[in-house]
Amino acid sequence: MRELAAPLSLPGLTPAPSQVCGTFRLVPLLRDRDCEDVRLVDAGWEPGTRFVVDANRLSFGFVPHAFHLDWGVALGTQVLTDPKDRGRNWLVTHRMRKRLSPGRLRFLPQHLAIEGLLSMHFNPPTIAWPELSQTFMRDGLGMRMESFAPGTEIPGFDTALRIFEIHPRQVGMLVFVSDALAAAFVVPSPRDYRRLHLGLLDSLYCDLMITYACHHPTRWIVDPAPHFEGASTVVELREGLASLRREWAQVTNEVLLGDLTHRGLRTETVYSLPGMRLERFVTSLELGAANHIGERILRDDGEVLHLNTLRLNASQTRRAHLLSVLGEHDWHLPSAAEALRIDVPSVVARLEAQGFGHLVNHNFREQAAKARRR
Amino acid sequence: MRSADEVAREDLLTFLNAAFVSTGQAEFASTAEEQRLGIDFLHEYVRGNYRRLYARLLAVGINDFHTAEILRGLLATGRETPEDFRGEENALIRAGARRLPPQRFWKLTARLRREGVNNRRTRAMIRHWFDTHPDQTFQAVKYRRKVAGAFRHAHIHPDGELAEFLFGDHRSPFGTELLETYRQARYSQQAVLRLPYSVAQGLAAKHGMAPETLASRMKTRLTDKERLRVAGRTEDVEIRPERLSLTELTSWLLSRKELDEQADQWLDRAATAVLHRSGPLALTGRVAAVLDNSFSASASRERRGRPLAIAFAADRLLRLGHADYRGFWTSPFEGRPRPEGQSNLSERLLDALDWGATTVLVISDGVENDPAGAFPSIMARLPAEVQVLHLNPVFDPEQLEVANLTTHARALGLHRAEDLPTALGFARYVVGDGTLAELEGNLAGPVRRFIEGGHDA
Repeated sequence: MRELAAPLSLPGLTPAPSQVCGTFRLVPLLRDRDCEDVRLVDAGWEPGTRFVVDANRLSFGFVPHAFHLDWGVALGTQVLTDPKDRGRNWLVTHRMRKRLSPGRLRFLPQHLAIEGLLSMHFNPPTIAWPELSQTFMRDGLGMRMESFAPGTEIPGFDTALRIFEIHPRQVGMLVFVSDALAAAFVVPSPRDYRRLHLGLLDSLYCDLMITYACHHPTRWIVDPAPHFEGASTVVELREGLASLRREWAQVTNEVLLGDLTHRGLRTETVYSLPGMRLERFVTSLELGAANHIGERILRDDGEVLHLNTLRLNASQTRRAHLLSVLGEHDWHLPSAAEALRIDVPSVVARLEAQGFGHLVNHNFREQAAKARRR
Repeated sequence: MRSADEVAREDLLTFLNAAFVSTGQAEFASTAEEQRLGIDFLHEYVRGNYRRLYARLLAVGINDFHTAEILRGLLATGRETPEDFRGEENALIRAGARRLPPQRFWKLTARLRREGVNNRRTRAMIRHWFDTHPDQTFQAVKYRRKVAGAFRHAHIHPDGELAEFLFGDHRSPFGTELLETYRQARYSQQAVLRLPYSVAQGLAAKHGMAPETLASRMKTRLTDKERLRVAGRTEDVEIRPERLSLTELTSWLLSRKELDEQADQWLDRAATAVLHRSGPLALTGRVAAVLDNSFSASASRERRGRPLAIAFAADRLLRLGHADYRGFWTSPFEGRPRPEGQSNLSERLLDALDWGATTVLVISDGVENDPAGAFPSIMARLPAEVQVLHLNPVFDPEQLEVANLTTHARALGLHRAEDLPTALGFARYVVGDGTLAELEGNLAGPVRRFIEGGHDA
């Protein structure tokens, strides 16, 4: 079920002071209240390309890892045994999210989100407009494809992750490349995080991050001097240290996360668990701003148990935006053109430029091309 | 504008820190190549500008890696020696070479040969070292290739059977027992077991003996360092902890799973031995140490866990050497320390001040990240009677210095925990009391003793 939701926020999590290595700024996230009943574990799959078969959809892509989500009462310190997971080494995986046993769900991280991007904004037309092609009428949208880069291709990322000092209570990480958010990753407990920390290297990132990683190293930190001004006793110095940490948390939330905390999301619930839900989301697609897709597991009171985001580059945003505008207007090209404040031949030109030219009737395309030439 | 004296003091302190701490190996945040680049630059700079002090620093107790570097540098640039200093420099070179352990000395000769440094002083040094060595046959057998190379390079003709052993084929039997054993080792397994361990390793492979078998069969004849190296791989080779130095012992103990009662006793014994040799520590009042066991204390694969071992050993030394002492670890632990967690040095400094310390020693690599930059701001607001000294076991090749947390003084490099008493003694010069002339004067005594063949600091 798709709905519009509140902007992305991190309730229940506090950012700690960041560690900088070259162009990478890694911000640890600490959980305010320990989570005892949910664990997230790597399923131990071999990375490889797989076909993923869902109810009415077939996806194909590179799957670096899969997660098992376990829930139950007081799971805390139990040693989790190896699952009987059939999808482990096969080329064909059944379902992107699959309940393996009562209390265990397997899902493919980031694939949920990417599939959401590819399908969420698409509303098929209800009226067979003459401008649309026969192929579209017969086969629908056909194949949609987007590409992302694995973390191993980002220069310097492996060093930054290797020399990062993990906080004992750390449950998540915000990865900034040249101070632009590349990914946010949260897991339920610190023990899970320590196992999954280096898995950040295998995750998918926007290829824009490869460019950003080649910029000048970031250097700014929160200036500590004003917090200790006028302090002369140890108690005052300690208070200064605490207020410095609070400022780090505030700066992270307000400056580094930027306008993400103000823009609405479009979410879709993928799976419901007792007391929680797994959903995927896309930020409101604004051309020219940073857009993210992701998936998260939220408790009913809003606490974020798991979060995994992915940044979109400009062309991916444009494609999703165009499809969503067309979908809103039921693929009636003139009204869509009016909403975009351009004329119809330009809409056709945009569709062609972004690889959707096959959705428009051939004759109509030629007419539009002629109109543009004039 | 700073005076020439101040510039000289800065340069020398940078070099001293580098010479005490760095070993050209990879560190947590830098690679071995970066370390070598920085070190080579420092050596060339100090040698070019302060040649007298550069040579005299051989007497101060810098580590073997740098001793070899200094010797190589002096020998390669003999033309730049001032006339009046020549005699002293030659004596220092000879004494410095004598102080090097044999493997380092032969490696130095191989390097001189590779670089084509072949002047009268070089040849004289090699000849003198070998002639005055008590057990020449053993050297010739254990380092056969390097010895032969050095003799070829320096045009030395050894007398007796050594010439035949080093340069001839081994057709006819030798009179000397060790040389004959070596000759027989080619076809006899028993002879292999009578050779020194490192030589036996190569020949054992020829006989198809597995390295673990060789180690266990030769276990009574291994030296202590060889025992340490083999300990991880075989079960029956024993380490003799009483014979290891404090930092070696700590490194070995921290690589095991548990620290039991006996380990505690060994540590105490080694620390007491160090204190016995060095005398009482130069500390007064209430002393606290802020010890870093964050993740960066695990250093690199080549220097595994070394900063943590130094901190742990220093904690033991201070506990035994000073009555009113307490250690504050960045991540408090039960049993044995592990390098994990963040570098929250400021918090620990405040805990130490709460406890009432008047001297705070910080043993850390100086990279604070929880939060970054707080330490210097806190230092600016400390009560006047508190003194903070930073001892750093890691050398940063990009900044060409050991990272410094304090604002009013430089950090001191700390290569081994045994150097802690010396470093505390140097602290006065580092804080800024004392001129270059005083330092030269202080060095005159050790230099004289060094040349006359006494033990180094």
